[in-house]
Amino acid sequence: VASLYPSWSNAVYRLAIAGLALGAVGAVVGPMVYVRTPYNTSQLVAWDQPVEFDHRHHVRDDGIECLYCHSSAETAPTAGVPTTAVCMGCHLQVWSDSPLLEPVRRSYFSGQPIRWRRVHNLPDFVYFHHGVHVQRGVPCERCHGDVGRMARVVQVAPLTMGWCLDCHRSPETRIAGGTLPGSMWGATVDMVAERPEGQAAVSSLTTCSACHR
Amino acid sequence: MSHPGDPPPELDRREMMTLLGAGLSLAGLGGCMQTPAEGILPRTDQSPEARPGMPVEYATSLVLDGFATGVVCKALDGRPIKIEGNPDHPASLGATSAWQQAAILGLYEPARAGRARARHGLPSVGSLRQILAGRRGLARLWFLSHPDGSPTVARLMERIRERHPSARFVFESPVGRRAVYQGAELCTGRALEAQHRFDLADVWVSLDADFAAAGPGSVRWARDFARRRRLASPTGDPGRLYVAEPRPTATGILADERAAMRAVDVGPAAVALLGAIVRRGRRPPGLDAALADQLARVASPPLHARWVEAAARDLAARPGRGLILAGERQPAWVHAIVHLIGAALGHHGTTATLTAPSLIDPLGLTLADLVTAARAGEVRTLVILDANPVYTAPADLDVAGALARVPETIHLAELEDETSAACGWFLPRAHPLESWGDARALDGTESLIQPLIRPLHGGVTGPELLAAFAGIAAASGRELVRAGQAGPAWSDDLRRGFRPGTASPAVAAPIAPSAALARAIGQAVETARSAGARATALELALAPSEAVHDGRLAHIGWLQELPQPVTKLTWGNAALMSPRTAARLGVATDDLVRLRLAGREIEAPALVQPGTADDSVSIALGYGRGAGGGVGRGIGASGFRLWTTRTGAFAPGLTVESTGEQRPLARTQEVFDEGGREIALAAALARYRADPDFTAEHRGPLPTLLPDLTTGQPQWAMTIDTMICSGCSACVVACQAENNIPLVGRQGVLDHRQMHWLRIDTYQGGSAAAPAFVHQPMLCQHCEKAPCEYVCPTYATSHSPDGLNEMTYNRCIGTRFCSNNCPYKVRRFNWFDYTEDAPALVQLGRNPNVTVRGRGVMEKCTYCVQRIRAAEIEARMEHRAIRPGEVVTACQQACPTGAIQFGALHHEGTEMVAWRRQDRAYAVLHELGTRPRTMYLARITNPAGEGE
Repeated sequence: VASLYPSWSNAVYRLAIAGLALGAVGAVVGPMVYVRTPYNTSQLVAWDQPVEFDHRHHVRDDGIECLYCHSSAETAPTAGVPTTAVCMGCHLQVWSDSPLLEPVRRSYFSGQPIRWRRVHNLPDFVYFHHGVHVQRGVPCERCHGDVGRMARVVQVAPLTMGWCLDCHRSPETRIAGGTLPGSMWGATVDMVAERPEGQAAVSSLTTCSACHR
Repeated sequence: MSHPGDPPPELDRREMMTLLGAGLSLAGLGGCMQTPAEGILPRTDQSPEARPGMPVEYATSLVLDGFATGVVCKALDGRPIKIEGNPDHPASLGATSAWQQAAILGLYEPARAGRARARHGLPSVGSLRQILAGRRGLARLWFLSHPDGSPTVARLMERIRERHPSARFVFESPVGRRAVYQGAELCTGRALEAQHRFDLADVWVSLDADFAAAGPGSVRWARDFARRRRLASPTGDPGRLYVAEPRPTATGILADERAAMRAVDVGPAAVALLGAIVRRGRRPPGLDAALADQLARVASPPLHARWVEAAARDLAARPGRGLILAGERQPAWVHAIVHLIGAALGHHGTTATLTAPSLIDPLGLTLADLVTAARAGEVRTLVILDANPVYTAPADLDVAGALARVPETIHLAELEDETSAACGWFLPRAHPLESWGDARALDGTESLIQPLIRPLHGGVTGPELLAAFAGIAAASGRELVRAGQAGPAWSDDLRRGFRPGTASPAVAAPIAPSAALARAIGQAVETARSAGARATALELALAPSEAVHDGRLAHIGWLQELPQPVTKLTWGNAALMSPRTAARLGVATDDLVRLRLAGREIEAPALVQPGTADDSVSIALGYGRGAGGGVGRGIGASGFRLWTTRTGAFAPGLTVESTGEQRPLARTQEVFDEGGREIALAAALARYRADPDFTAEHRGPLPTLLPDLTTGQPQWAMTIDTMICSGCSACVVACQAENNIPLVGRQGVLDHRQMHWLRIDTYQGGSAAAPAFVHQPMLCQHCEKAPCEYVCPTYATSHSPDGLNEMTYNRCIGTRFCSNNCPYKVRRFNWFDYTEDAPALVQLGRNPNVTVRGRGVMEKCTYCVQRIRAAEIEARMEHRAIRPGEVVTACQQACPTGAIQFGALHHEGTEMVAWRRQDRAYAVLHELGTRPRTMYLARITNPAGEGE
């Protein structure tokens, strides 16, 4: 037998068994880790957009508030990319002949929409309502990061279900005012906790049908 | 074409393993791809109405056979997705019927014609306009249309008559209200419409009239009836409904006293009823004494003497508090008798206000006149607006042959159908949701039709085509309807959907003795006398289908798969007969039988339906469509092939023979008894009064070991009153439209794989000869101790703190344990991907607020959780609690009788809460301890006591 199995074969077999065990664990844990990586959640991907729009200039240089352009974020389910008419409201006056704005002008005068690329993309089986979050005092930056410092907008948060539930389970600690630099909302714990009698607490919205219908 | 449900093609074991392995590894790889960026296409203009993801609602009207019902259509991001009733409109009061709900699917029908077609010349309305420009006095010009009351069409008709003085207009529908108006004309000398007020009556008598689910006012009628009918306590008076009909209909099932009567016997019964009323000393004023005496001598038919006498007694005892109506297919003299009964008992002006009919020219030319003229070469140009006479005309008229004699035929229709094939020109018609137009409701209210979307396939409306003949150059549909009106009145009317105060005024119409009336009464008395002699002749009775009407809705899959209220038959029609008649003929359900009448024959499967009159065979019209039938093409048998001008909608002399073949019927319910259990509770009023707590053992707390999962407020719940549920099934289609419920097809139903979240179970009690039915709308009961929840291995079904049994589709792995553990059998499983291959056009009509389910996923009623959450979000954004009545489920909103009530348990004072505290409330299968949130109210009937 010794001639068939040299002494190092024991080590090989031990390694192989350990490898199999690790592999079995890895087959389960690996995908679980993978789906949480920024690569899988499309975080920090800076897409080229049809218009070279720079949030830094509009937010920081011009001091335009988020809701000036993304006005439906306050009331509607989607924040909405502003209509071409909103862009042209200013740009008929300023930089009205800038070559960078050629696609915007083309859209405005032809009635054909600009095809932007979606950065924050939730799965179709999730129903998220922007309006209710804004109305209840969640600052934009809490989920979107400091867009005012982004040349091209990237997705900062993972937007996974666990990430949603982190806030919904303890909104007091997650959405405290001033925890984020440059919050133009100054949201406080009170704003989130304030609710009329007879209304379910924020935490009750961890129920499945709050988002999945 | 392969179809979900077909067996897979032959595969050997190795090939199968190879494919499985490959599939598995590829499926794994799929997870490693980054999702590509989707596009966002914002609008270019800033419209205050259009906010992304926010629904916009417009009031419009839907028209069937000339009568408008006001609806509110919801559009999301520019796409119409749901139709609701218009609460302010007198014909709707907020409710809808099944076909109105289904209009959405009709809009997105892929088979809708896209292209105009012409045998000669240029095919478009523009070219037609060019041809007609400057031409006047076209000779032998005829128009054929469904009955219509549109003021715009009336105006255009005037213009056309000015320009082409010899133009003729024919308004025709297979089962129209011509006989109703003729009956009134016999009595009063003019065509009249009786505006019925069901809520003001104590006794209702229906002679072959399915008022609760069919007919031009059924939505309003059903609501009025239910409001008067519903019992709030044992001491209440539910009134009494008498129905005589040849087959059980929605109305018949609501009846306290139902007589299964051949359609040919309904007229004699009406005469006997009038006779019995006259004998009780109530004579129609204005009728001469000799005729009244003649009527008083008519004896009741022996078979139905008890029914006739009881109805006469109740009607005579409550003058001015009764209501009687006859079915549209009954001949004019029956309607005249009904008119006389109304006059005798003071119904006119109280429960039946007489007005002028809202239709244009209600007793004008008929299709037979048109065919005669065409044969004689007196028609040079025929314009057919939306009618399909080649399919619906009586078989002996040979409309196709007559059309061949007409040099120029123009057909305007949504789908290229049987008639289009026989016409030289075909023009696509815009769907009502794409059109401008107007119409009048049954009570005369002018209702506006406005588009929610540009025509998907081009297409023009009827008024636009008429305008070309009227010489109105390039008029848009909107301008035609507006007719010079402007300013706030027009925009207010448009917003409201109708012009208030335009209902027809009441007219005084005393009975005018005439030779025609005397002749009609003589004929009626004679028919009643000789009725006994023909007592055993087998009759054929034809009526529009409850689902697809006269076939014009046959292309709508939701209606094809809609279980018909009593038979639960889908995807087709059948020859309905009573058990005794079936035994005599030696046929059973599913046997293919050959029906012969007056030398014509069709083949249809038999369906033995208790409650059908003996010696009567009923066939639903609207099946056996050819071209233009869409998914309904070739399904079922066409009853129109047995309809001749001589025999009409019903006639004795039918022969039935078995072909020896079988054709299985796709029914969603095949067992109608309760198997000795008490599932759908019912009691007679006397028993209920003696023992008001007879449902006590079907409610109340039961011990449980399971934890309480519900906390806080609101707690959602539903209450359904089975006493006023007519089984009309508007809720079933509303649920389907709201919740993106797929169709499974005929084979799917045969395999019991139908997907309806809400079904209407019908239980049959009583005797086989006189069955009593109870409808029980059955949907997820949202049990507090839900058996489905604790068997789910993936936590895909769970309980929300506000009392909903939730279903999270993307967690579901399809073990189907939950369905097996559900005692109510309300969970539905996607055996195939029913939605993946749906045409892109159909996908536009889906509700984006509800997930479209894929294969291998369980689904069920959610109590319209998307509506609950939308209302909650609204309330949260306004920092307030949710208000009573703020959440309305799709089924509740559609229900014409208001039998379904939904709300939060802490909202005291809502009907939902008040009802479930009533003594006749019960929980289905209460003894299992599931604590269902949906509660039912037992059905109470009020049969006439002997000699009461």
